[in-house]
Amino acid sequence: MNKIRDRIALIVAVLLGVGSIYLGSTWNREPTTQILPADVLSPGALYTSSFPDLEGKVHPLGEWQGKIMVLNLWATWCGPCREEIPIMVKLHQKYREQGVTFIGLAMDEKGPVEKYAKEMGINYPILLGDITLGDFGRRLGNNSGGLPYTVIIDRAGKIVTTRLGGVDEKFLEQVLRPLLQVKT
Amino acid sequence: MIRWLTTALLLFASFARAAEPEILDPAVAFKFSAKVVSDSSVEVTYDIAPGYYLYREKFAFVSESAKLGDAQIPIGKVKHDEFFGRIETLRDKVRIVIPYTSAGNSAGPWSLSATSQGCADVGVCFPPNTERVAFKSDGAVSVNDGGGFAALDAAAPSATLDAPPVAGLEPTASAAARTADSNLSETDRIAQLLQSNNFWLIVASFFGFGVLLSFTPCVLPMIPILSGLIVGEGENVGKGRAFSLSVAYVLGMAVTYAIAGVIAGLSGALLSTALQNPWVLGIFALVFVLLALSMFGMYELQLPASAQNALTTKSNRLPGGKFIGVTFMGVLSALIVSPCVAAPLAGALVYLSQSHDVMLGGAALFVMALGMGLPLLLVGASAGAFLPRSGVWMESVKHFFGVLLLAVAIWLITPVIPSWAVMSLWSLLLIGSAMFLHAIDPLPDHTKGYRRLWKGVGVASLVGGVALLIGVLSGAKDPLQPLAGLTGGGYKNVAHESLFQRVKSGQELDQRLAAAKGKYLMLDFYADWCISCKEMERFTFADSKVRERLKDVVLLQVDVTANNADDKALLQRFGLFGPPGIILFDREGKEIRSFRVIGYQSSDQFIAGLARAQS
Repeated sequence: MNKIRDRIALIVAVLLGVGSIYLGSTWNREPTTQILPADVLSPGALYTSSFPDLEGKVHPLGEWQGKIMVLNLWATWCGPCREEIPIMVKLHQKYREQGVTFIGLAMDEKGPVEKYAKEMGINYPILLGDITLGDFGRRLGNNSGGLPYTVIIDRAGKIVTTRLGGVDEKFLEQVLRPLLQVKT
Repeated sequence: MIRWLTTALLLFASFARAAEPEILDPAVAFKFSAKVVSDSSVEVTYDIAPGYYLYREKFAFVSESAKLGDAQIPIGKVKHDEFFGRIETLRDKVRIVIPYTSAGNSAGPWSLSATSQGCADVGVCFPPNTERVAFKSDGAVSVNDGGGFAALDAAAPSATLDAPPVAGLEPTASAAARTADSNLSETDRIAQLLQSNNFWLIVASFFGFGVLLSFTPCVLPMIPILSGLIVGEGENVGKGRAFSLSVAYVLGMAVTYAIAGVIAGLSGALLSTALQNPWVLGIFALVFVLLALSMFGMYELQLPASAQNALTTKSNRLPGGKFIGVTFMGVLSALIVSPCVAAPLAGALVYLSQSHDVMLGGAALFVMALGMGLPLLLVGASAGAFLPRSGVWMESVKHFFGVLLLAVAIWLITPVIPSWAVMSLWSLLLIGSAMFLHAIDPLPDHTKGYRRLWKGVGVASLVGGVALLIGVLSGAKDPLQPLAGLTGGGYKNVAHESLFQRVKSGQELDQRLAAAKGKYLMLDFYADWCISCKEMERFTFADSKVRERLKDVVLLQVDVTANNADDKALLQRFGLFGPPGIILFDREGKEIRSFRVIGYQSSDQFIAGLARAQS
């Protein structure tokens, strides 16, 4: 009898070990903060950075000062970027009244971006980046220059979270919710 | 011992640096090279890292000075992309032959622009990248990358590497960061292994490190605890039972570490900063001293009898009985012993925390603990038979480990106490050990050989300890040269001071970097207590060959002995825990990561590394 109990206990111990690892894996999707480069853009530098829109009008990011910005670096030639656009459209709609704005910064040419934005019904500002976008991205923590790259910036211009590669709805909601609590 | 710990620390420190982005720099992921194959065709090669691919349709080859034929691009693997439809992707090594006819004067130099675009399987794409290659009339080829990129196939007889970058061609965005594989330093190779995101490989490595850690005195205090538990079972404990008890114990330990790993995965870098705090280090050192005292037999390391009884009766009433108790003891032991592995653990945790991968964090530390528990399992499997029988010699072994534990304690707090205190402590430890080895007790006649040997060791340790003490009293700062001040000689950092200029903060470094544009710049992290920094200074930097090689390099040094806020910020900026660390910046002021020297290098190694980085 005792032996059986011991065996069970052993199995429980093993399951505990495996279970804790499994549990860990489900927490994995929680937003994390990344170590940013030493010359990371200060709020001031961020807000003075400016890019042209599809009409050629130049917008400094400071236009959205005081809002929570979800800055999405993307391109039409990038499959994983296209995948997350519908999520961005949906969440921009959901949170725009609460002071959140998505901004699509395309490392691309005007033609394909215009066509794609119309097709997808993109409801948030689209800006066009040029060759300097690589360095801009790096100073937001994107060392490899890969796309998509998403940066979430709080109302004070501080970078809260960055993510290289696709984001899902849950991730964005988890980052945005606590930021929405903070009013300025 | 110290050397071993340093090595372990460095090993783990290299993990920490591995953590930057999990995505390779595109120049590394898609390594480009070109060569002339005949007088009418050239071949460009993309060496693609596993997990990365290039789009077949996106290649473009343009030349202003030659007429290009159709590039022969290999057939790719068809992929049905949800957005682009049918698309061909290329992996591994892609060789593309491009026929050409020179325009005008036949054998003149000409150039080629090769554009490619690709992605990583993890769902990240890179912008189109253009490489420019210049072909000279004599068949020489040069790729404009600003240095550091050995693009040529050495086997090609007609091609020789043309080192200086081609003037007048604008560099591509990623060019400065380019690194060829052969240029990677050893530590970066480990880093790259970890960057490759190979889950099982990382987990297996951590198991290996666990086994290595089990050779440190860290696991030692666990042996008496575990054997006590097994012996507590009664006289005739079966082998199977003893083994399963050990398994339960080790699992308890492993789960604790797994939780630490998970926390690391969630917390980011916070944890590592906490572990570098002087107070935490001090407390850890204190725990070590306590452990050492127990080794010297000042007290027995076990729970008070009443607590032990209560625990046993309680756990016996629970289903699983003894096993739950033993597992719980494993958890407790891990908590008690972890300060011992704090230094390597800190490194591991930082790596895991930066990887943001909780699953990986938990799994890696879990198997690391299993590795650490290997000797304990052996103890269990032998049902205590492997346990040394007690006797006088067993006492000596315990004393030996006691000394080791004290040494670890000193080593832990070395970064946060002044050098005279470090030297005094070493001196006390050496003299104290000498007394235990009967260094000054007269030996009776007919003493056996080994006792004489030990007395010899004792005397040596006594002399070393006294020398250190004299050093402290005469104001020496270098544990390796305590008597330098007395002999009037010593290096006194002559070579060193004339070579390096001090910088104090990141701001100052940035200014110097800006001022040094067009020159290579080397930054050396130094501290008074850093042994390998002193070795580098004394042997490597004193070598005239090295000084000759460094003639045109701007040499800066940060002294982080004080470990103030500026020092910490600088260390953090480069992902270092402390000196030694030598960092090289290229002419653009960007770090050449493949170069990094962590730990001692001889002048030949150093020069070879430098040559590779600057080529």
